[in-house]
Amino acid sequence: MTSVTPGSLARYSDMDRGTEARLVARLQTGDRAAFDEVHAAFNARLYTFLLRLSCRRDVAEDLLEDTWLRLVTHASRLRSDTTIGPWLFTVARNLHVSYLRSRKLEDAVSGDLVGLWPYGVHRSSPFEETAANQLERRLERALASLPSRSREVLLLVATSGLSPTEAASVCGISPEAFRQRLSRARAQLTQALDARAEVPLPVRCEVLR
Amino acid sequence: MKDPILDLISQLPPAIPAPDRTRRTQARCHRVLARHTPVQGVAHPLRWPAWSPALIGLAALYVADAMWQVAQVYGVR
Repeated sequence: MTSVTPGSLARYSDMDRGTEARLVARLQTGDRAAFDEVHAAFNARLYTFLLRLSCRRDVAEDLLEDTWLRLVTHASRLRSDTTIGPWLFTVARNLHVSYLRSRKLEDAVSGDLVGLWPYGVHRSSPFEETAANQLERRLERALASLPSRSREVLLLVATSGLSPTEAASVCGISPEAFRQRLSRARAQLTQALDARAEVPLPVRCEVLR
Repeated sequence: MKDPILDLISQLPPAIPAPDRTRRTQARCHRVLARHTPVQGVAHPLRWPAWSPALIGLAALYVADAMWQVAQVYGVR
């Protein structure tokens, strides 16, 4: 498996349109190598998105598997102008919305968060590691305290590699509405981060497992 | 990315799914792809072969001749 670092999550829009169209054409014919290429490009991004959205590893892994299964079962019916990234994130996001509807987790308030990431990023010194971990935990806690609609817009723009227009289409709203939602989400996150450090933020997600 | 908040989020370490689960999912997807792959090089079962118009023509001639002969036997002209 290829290692993934924050910097390696290059913007999805960097993918050449011709390359993407060829990948879609190969997927339509059931080409496994084409699937593996798409999987390698998007698996970590989708998982990161789903994990931060659901705050649960088991749920994120289930939704991730369902997302990939949707792709392969619809592969032969993909339109030739399909953009793979937005397609995958739309499916992942819709699966999460369905999950929330079925479980009504949104208002659940939980205790402490456990570490999200099984493999940490390399730090050059123990001090840097501690400082970075504290900031990450604060940020994770602040993100988890937001409503999922706010969380998803921030994650789509910051970590998915999609353009704002593509991210708006993933949420099924206009770019203008997306901009407004993003602005609100930023304000909520800033407020959450500015809250006194010793006061635990209410976490809307369930305890991470 | 110039927005400091979004920049902070983008710097969070990405998550990596469990390797075992990833392998299982990939294998499952490969199986589904193999099932859904259109079979190459097999003619459509309902497609008429290229020589079918000639066959239809011969059959029509045969039927017409048979009717002609029957008409002659019964004296119908």
